[in-house]
Amino acid sequence: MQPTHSFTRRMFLKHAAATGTALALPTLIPRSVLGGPGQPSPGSRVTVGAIGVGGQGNGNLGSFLGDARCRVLAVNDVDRNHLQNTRNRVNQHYGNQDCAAYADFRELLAQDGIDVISLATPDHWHAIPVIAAARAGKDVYGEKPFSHDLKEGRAMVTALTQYGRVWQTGSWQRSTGNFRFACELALNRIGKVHTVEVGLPTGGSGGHAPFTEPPAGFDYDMWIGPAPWAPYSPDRTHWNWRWQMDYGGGQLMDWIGHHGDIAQWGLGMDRTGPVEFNPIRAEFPKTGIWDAATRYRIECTYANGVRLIVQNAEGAHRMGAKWIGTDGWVWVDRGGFDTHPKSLMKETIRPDEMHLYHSRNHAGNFIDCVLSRKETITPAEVAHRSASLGHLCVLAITVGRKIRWNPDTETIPGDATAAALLGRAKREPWNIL
Amino acid sequence: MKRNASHPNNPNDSPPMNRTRVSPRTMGLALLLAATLTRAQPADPFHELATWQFGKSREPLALIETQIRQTPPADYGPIEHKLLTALQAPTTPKDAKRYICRWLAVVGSPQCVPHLAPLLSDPDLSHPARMALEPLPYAAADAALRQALPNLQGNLLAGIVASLGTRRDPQAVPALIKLTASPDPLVADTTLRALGQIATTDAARALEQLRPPPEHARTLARAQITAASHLASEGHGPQAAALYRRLLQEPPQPPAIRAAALKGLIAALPPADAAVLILDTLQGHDSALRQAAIAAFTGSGDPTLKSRVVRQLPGLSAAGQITLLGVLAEDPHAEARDAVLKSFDRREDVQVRAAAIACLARHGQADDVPMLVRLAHSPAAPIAEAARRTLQHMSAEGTDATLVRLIQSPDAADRAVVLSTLASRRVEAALPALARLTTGTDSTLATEAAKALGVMGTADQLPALTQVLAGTRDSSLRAAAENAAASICRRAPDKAAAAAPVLSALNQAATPEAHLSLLPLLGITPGKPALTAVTRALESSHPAVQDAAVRALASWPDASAMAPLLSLARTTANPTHAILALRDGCLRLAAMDETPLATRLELYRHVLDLAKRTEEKKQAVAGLAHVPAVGALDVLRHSAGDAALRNDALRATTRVARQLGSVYPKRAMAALQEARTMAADPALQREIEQAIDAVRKAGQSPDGYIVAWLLSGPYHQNGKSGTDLFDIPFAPEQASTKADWRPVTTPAGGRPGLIELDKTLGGNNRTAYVRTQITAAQACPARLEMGSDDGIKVWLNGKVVHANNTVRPNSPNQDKADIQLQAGPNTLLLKITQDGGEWSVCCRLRAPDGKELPGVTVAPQAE
Repeated sequence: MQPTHSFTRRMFLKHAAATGTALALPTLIPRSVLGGPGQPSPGSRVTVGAIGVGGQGNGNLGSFLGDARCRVLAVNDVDRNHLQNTRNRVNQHYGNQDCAAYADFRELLAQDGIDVISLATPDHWHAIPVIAAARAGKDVYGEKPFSHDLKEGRAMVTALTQYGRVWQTGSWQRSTGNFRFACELALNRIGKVHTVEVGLPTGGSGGHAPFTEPPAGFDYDMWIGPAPWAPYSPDRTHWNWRWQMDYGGGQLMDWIGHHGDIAQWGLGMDRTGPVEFNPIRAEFPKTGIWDAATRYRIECTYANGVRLIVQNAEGAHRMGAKWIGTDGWVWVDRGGFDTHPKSLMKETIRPDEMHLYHSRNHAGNFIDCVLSRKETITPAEVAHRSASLGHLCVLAITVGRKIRWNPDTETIPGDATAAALLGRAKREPWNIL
Repeated sequence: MKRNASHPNNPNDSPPMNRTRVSPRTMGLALLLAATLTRAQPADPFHELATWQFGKSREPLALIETQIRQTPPADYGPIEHKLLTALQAPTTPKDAKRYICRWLAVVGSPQCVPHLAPLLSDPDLSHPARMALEPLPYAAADAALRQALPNLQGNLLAGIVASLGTRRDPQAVPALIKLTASPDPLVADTTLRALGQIATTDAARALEQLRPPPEHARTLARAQITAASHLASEGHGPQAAALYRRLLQEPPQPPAIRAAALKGLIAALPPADAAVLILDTLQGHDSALRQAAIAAFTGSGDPTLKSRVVRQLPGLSAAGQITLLGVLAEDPHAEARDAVLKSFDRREDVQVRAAAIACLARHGQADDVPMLVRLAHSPAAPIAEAARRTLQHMSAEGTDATLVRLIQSPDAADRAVVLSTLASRRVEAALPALARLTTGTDSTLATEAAKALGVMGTADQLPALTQVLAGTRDSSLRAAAENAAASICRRAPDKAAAAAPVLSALNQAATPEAHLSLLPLLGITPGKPALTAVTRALESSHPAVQDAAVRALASWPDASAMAPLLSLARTTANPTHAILALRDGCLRLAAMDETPLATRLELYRHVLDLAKRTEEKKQAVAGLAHVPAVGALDVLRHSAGDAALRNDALRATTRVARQLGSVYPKRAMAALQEARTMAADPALQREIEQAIDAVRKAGQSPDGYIVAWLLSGPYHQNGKSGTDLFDIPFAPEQASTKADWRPVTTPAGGRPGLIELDKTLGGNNRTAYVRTQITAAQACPARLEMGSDDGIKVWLNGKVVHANNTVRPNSPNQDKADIQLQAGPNTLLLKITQDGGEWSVCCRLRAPDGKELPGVTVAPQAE
């Protein structure tokens, strides 16, 4: 891949030389140079590079700009508008012109002075930069869903583990009090849980915009990256990539890293997964380029018999996660919380009961762990299992039959044709080796 | 869509009646045939596939995918055959071939491999061919990829190498070793990584012996890490360890590589050697390696390794101990208590001791509780803080029981720690004992017990606390009991039940102090008896008690106090009490969002009547500016007659009129026009003029979105989805039935014109209507641009002008409808259905060419 426009590192350095600025401030020392768990020493900062700075990437970046322990040093995007706007935002925030802008994420990752990566690219562009970042010794805050398919997800976990990197997923619901409390109630107060309902949004059909030349300043070939080639359309790219299986996974995958993740957390199953996925119904668009399921219901069963139902929210199946046990139920959604009996909502979890990881600030928890080297509230293995829940639901509705799953070996016993969909060959020159 | 997704190969899923009569394969074929027969209309999707290109409808593709979903794997053969037939046809476009390849990955057999192999050298189809070949579980796929190697270069060659690496094809190793010398850096790098992934002993040996140019050094090191990891997990520990050691020793590698090598080496070594390596590294100065050692320890599931490391904890350097204790504090799998206690005993270092205490939160036992209680009032602050936190979070069995026993400790400092710990742990078993202590003879202990009850007490302890308040002469105890009782009253779900012991104590209270303590509690447990008691206390002969009653009434939490407050303001001879009743009572209640709008208006009106000072009157006028009700305009009109209030009243009138303008444009306009005649201040006149202009345009945003509507709904029927409700006429569609309408506007700061019905009405499987009036100066054509989630139907002057029964997210301008406006008023009615999830609508009125439509006003005309 060749950089196609002016915001390469080389050009930045040229600009820096002309204006008398340099990439790193003389007093700014990346934490990785000083090292050691604990608070950063005076003068050192956790240095941040952001890959993918569209809407979500900019939202995440705000957390790091607002954290006095961090210093955002560089940004990357394949869309020149995103890149310029975000560089300007960073420079305005710090009152200088020091933020480097790269059109190619590999140039950003080659900077030894960057400690952590904030990643908010489309799903098909998660695995490659994450694995490269891990191998370059960088910690990563990355968006959900963790991966675009199951095999690359495992490769991401392996790389992050092998290189001892800290990972945080953008499953920020875990760092809000009501979601954690709901999970603790599910674990402690409603008897034996037998069913969990996960309600996710209904998808839509669309993608009828005509194919055109990509806009100037948008490196479309890089955007397509490891996905199969297809002609440019605004309905394919920014935001709308979510509704296409080559780049996203529909509403199901867009939300499984939230409510599916929470559901498994409250079951104490967030490092494993169901053993069976039974597709009850699925509807797919018939026109337009969007091809992800719009309505769906998949009944999953864990080895202990607990059923987890992933469905687009309609009828009595509400958005959010609802755990149903022998002694009551707990339902939680953004801004919604309910229990049966109602008195559960006022209860306090005692020290001798099961407590979950406590974080009040999701991005802050990531930086805490970058400094302490402890595990974050959504580490890679957990993120991978939450995404796997979604990938296997998608796989089951794609082949239209019940899938058995071994969460220990991550294999589909006795169904080689379904197993073919666990991974995707990447378009050359990209791969996750 | 609902269907049986069962797989006939799974006997448990097959219908029993079919299992005995028809073989799964035959049944599958029959189903396929039936599906083909019923779905072949109007055209065979495979026939259409053979001419498919990007830009054509994907309907045939969707039909093919449905067939695949409905076919058991054993019967994929005919589908594969049809796909291969299309793939081979000379006229089939490349776009169709791309599509065919991706499904051959699923339905393909060894037969498809020879058809895919030639595509590997086609720059447009090499990747699609690999998408099919890479997951196929046949040796023929490996062979096809290997055979393509000599004929390709650049990106296509790198792609083949990557696929062989992904498949971990051992037979590819000799050819790949040769490719490591490729002058193409992409090919050389990809090949190194592929060898690391394949990781046979030959591949690993080759990686060990390679001496690539410096630009490939990092890739080689990373490939070695990958290879060593595979070797270790596949039973070649010594070879893996050798590779890791080499990376740690020579040549100097970047910190990330050394850290990964150390972590891998620890995992590959026997536990005894691994423990030594961890301990040595923890005491070293290389931070990257220390982090790796911690990560290796944390990630290890080997209890032998963990216990060997933990045993050496007390002998480590202070820094090493602090690091390891920090890790152990969160590791439930290591048996660490003995080592942690030794570490605590042997070290004078405060930080080590504090870290050891923190570690006991997870590893301590109930026997450790007395020691922790003593340490929690140690003079060394870090130790005391760590002990307090550990006591709060310890989960060992028997912790609470031990703490309850220690309530009676002879040491006062111990008791204080125990009581605060019991409170923070919410130990309900301690509540009766705490209640008893508050009425005991030891006032220090009673005060601590009252403080603990403030944190965790329930209404059951209110009798004890109110007894204290009625009788004690100890000021510290009184203050603690007041706070505790107030906290309990605030938490109590049943306020009436909580008020009962307070009222009872008040009836028996003999001293002014008791009244002063108890009266404020009644404001927290409001209800008729409580209000009556406070009103009665207003008559007290004791000035301080009377004063306390006035303050309790003035701080009453709801508008039930309106009548006694107004009565007090009217009748009291004490000017301070009158001010308190109006300012702290009435004006505060009127400013609360929880107070109903009509009551707020009433409160402000009375304050304007009763207040003697201009301050309160001005506050009332300022408050009325936030009461969006037509009645507020009347009260403000009257206030504007008072010269001292005029400007404030006109300013408030301007604000209220602006708020009401979109729904009550006539009333708002009349109020503003009158205000204009009264305003003398030029700045105020400008404000009023701007408001008049805004009211004229209130129904639309500057870019044409309709921002104000009348809303009716939700409407639903049992068992019907939103889609089902689309054509069911509810009251707003029926001229003969009267519907209830209420105003709704786009919230400030929201997306232009977006009415979020899910937030206003909520729920699934329902529908709602919004209505407004468009007044046109003359008849003209116009265009509606709409977005909806989910379906939308539109009537103009009673006739349907647009209908789209769909389920979708809302995107502005996703539907358009050309309409013809008549001169004068036009009624626009929208129906929006809701299946599930979000529910919203936005609608924009434009000229037919999409530009601004002049000469129209839009307002819902609620008057």
